[in-house]
Amino acid sequence: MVEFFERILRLDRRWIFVAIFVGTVVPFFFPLGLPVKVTTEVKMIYDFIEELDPDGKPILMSFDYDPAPSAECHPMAIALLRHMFRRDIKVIAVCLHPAGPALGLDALASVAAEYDKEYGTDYAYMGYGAGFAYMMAKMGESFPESFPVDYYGTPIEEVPLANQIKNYDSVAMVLTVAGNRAYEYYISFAQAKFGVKVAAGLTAVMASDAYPYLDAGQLSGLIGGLKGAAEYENLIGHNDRAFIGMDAQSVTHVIIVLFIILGNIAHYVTRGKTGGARLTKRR
Amino acid sequence: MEAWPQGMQTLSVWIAAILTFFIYSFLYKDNPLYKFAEYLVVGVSAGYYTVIFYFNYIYPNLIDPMKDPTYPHKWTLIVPMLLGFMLLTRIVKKYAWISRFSLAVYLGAGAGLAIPREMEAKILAQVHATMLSLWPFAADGSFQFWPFVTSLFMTVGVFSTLAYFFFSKEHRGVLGGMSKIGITFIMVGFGATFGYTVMGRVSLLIGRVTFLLKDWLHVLD
Repeated sequence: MVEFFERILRLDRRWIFVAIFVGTVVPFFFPLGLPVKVTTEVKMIYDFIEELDPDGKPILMSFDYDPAPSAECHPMAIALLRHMFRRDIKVIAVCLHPAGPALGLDALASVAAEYDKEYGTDYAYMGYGAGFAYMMAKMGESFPESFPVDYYGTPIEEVPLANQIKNYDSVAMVLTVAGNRAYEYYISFAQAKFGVKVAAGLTAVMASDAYPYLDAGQLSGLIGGLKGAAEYENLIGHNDRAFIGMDAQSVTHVIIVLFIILGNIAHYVTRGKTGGARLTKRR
Repeated sequence: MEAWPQGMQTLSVWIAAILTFFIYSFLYKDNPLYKFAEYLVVGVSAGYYTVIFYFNYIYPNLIDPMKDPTYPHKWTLIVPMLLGFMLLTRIVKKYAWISRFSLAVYLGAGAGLAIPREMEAKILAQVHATMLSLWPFAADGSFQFWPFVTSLFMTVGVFSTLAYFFFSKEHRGVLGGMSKIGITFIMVGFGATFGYTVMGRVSLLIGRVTFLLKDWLHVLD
């Protein structure tokens, strides 16, 4: 038994990578159909959009992520857009991350085509605005001065939906999908200063840091990581990339937990034998 | 949006798939293919950000107004331009001290912009959120068990965590006991963060696998 655990501690870590890879790929072909439980913080955003008047104020959606976290952020952006377009909610979109404009455009164009939405009246894309704090503070003072032209270079006066936006008072909510601290800037420069509601879709790594803002009422909803995106897809009844990845996520987590337990037991069992010497070796 | 021609789309998916394999090849061991992909990311990013920053910061805020004959008080643009050039003196060690003036202006402006807002959003609002009533009875006299437990838990958590970071007195007696409770709360917080981090990293792998199976190999619906 001790020999077995000594071998476990000497295991080439590449076998762990293989196990994780297999655990990720196999559920795509043999789905387990594990349920995705919807959390309150995700439901808060869903309920807000669900209760919004389609003829009322639009939602300001901020694409604040680059390609690196897009595996988590893009599915949640698409799910949110599907919900808003399905309910005929107007969307005015901006991008405050320099590497994000193309991702925002991709999400908007693809979902708008699904729901046959017209650019300029149902949605508008203002493109990239440079500087988090600067743009967020400036949007609260004057939206047209913040984005004088849209993504395509059309003056804001010629984009009917965008032309209605004066400042944060003109929008029902700011919805930031972020792979960075953009949501904290929105809390500081939009929510605290101008009183606009702010909700966030964040990468899983950042989500735990955002909960204090949720509890304090500074965030009006939170979608955390691919799991949060899957919850939102589940809520709108349109299961897509996030949802199909949930089985893989669960299986991979089980594998990781098993390795952690096995490693701890192995350390415990072999500690007397090895005199505390480290058996694991980086390769 | 004008879509790419089909051929270009296919080519871009193939390039992305091949580069994905190059990057993951590092898990076996460091190799030239990984290095190639890594340097490509760095090079492309540097080029991309240079262009983006030029056309979104320098051109609209400096070059364009300079060319505009109707722009008022054009001479004021010389100040930020000079500050920008002064930052570049960091390249030459002998004159690197000049860049400190630019950094001082940058830090001063940043602090002036951020401190009032951060104070309000991250300190006052957060402190206010921890000021919870510990009275377990509602206005109608009914006993509110869970709100009471939640408030008590939050209060104990805040005070004991703050006690852990109080270093002006030795952690013995009541303070020692509180700090031990505090470290438990901190560890639970770290555990939650670690769990989310693992989930995030696995999500990135799932994103790549989904791309490979769905967009590249078309074996998923």
